[in-house]
Amino acid sequence: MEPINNNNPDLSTHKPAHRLFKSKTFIWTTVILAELILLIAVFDLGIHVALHKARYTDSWARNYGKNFGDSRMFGRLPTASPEHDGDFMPAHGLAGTIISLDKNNLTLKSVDNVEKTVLVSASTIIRMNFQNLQAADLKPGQEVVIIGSPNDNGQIDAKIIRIIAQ
Amino acid sequence: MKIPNQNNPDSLEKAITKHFSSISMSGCDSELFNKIINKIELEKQLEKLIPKLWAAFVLFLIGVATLILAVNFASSAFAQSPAAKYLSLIFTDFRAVLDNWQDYTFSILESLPLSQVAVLLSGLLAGTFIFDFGFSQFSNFKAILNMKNYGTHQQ
Repeated sequence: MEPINNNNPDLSTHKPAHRLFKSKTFIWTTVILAELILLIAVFDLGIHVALHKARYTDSWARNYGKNFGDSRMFGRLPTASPEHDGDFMPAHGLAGTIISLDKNNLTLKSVDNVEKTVLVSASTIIRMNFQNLQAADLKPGQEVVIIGSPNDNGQIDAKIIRIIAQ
Repeated sequence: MKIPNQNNPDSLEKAITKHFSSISMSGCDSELFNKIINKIELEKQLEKLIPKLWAAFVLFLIGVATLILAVNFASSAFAQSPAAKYLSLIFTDFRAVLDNWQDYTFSILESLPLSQVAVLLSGLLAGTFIFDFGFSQFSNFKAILNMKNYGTHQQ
């Protein structure tokens, strides 16, 4: 029979090394830091979104005459959409009805009753139901949802066009 | 001997304590004494709990009404904004959305009716707290009732 080893440390007085991670102060500090990081990230994201919207609204207003052929409107357009309660217009998405087609330029009336121009390129994905379509298949009167990026001419470069109704 | 008001646990407890202090405790069954004291304690807790239960019930009704209003408010805002149409693209054009995820994310963020979503989330948060409060009060009530029934059955 082996003798009992009495050199073992007394476990009742042993303090674990990771005690700091269990302390209330550490947990609260971590929570507050995490919330601060989240707050800053959301704030930064908000600034980016607002900046895109503001730039697009500004270029849309400045290029209204050029894009829609009504130079009389130039210079006295609102810089924000009244349908958005004075807010700037969305720059990356558009849902509305096609008014006219001119080569690769689409003019649409968006759901917030604002005219917008969309550029269709060869890389634009145009889809209806499960089919891929060409730019030539787009017709006035079609209801579409468009995802794209704004350019400096107050237009949206379309990346995805989904026709939702003929 | 003056009969204490049995509906008032405080006066009943005082009367019992007074009665037991005047007689010799050597012959008294300590188990019975504990049962009586426990019963009085349960009655006291039940009396304190009833107003809280009413408060929980009223809060629950207010919470449900607020939540319905918040859901209506948010759903009408969603119906007006194109965010729902953009979101539906995930199901119809997932591959294209994945290839253009940055523009897609921006389009969603730009069109979300944020104030209405904030109202809805606040309603949900308040509803969770109200439900938690009501549930804990109801659990306490149930536990006290169970203890009371247990005492009655033993007798």
